[in-house]
Amino acid sequence: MERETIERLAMDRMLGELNEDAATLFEAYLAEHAEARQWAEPMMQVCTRTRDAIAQKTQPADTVARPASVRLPWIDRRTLARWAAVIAIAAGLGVAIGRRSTPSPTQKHETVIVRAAPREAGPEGWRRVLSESEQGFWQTKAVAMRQSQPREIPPSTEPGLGLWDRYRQFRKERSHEEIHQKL
Amino acid sequence: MARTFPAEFGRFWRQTCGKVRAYMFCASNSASDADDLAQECYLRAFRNWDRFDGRGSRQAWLFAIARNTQADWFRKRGRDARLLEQGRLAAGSEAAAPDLDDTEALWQAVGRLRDEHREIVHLRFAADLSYDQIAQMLGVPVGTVRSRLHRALKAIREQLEEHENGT
Repeated sequence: MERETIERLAMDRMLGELNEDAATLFEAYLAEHAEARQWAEPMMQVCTRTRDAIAQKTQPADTVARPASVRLPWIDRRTLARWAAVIAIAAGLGVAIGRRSTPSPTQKHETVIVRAAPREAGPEGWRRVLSESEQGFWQTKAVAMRQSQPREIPPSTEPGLGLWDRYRQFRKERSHEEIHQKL
Repeated sequence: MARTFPAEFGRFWRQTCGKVRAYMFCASNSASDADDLAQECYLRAFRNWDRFDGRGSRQAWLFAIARNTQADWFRKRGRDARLLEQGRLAAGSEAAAPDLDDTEALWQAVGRLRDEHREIVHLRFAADLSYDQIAQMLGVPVGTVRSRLHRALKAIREQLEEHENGT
């Protein structure tokens, strides 16, 4: 074959334009003919070099010189993962131990018992309440209840007093009690 | 009415965007211009997506649009841009020839090719089009593509040999 034919076939071979059979035949021919191989090789080389050079020149700049990722020296993924695992295990242990442990003796719950006053705090009811606790709030409550209860106007011991006089006497006694309580 | 973005176009873009950008870079020799040109090319392709008649390959159709986009870009910027670029390449090669690495030497060798040869090299090596696709795109026979590419590669080889021999 002529030199130009060999070169063209070599070019086609390098660019993948020869089918399988043609490529096999061409390589067999080159293996047998040293002179043809000498003509083909420079063309194959220039194909490879052109392809590489154009690929190198035309690839985007960000793929040519991609800067190394900035990483602080003490931050390493493995180190971070290790510390995250340690913290997770410690938190889990803390929760588990906390659930199993009994409350501490110094930490007693204060129970506030609110006693409901009897609805109809008759004399018996209040007596019962006061006998149970006669101090603090209930003492005050008892006094207040006692004062709020309607009192019967006692019959006058003095003869000749009218209803108005008896009422004034009652108010007087009551005001004395109030003053006494305030003091 | 807003036009919906066809999923097929998205897939096509993913398959070809690297090649289109490389092809545009070969023409403009500038990364930012290549990005602008590629964007303009895909905009045109999107607008005319439905006009593809199904004859030949979609890639050849796209690179025909890319070629027209390049032509419009050069027309808009004036021929000075291209001439300036070629002059810069030639001047650079003369000044720094002994120190050029392989890639740069070859890049400059491609830049000094005749227009029709350089275009074939760009379409084959940057756009990665087959002989058939290039032929369809340029409207020439496959044999013409093959012979032009052969001549282009021979010219590159000769320039490289000159460079390596220091002449």
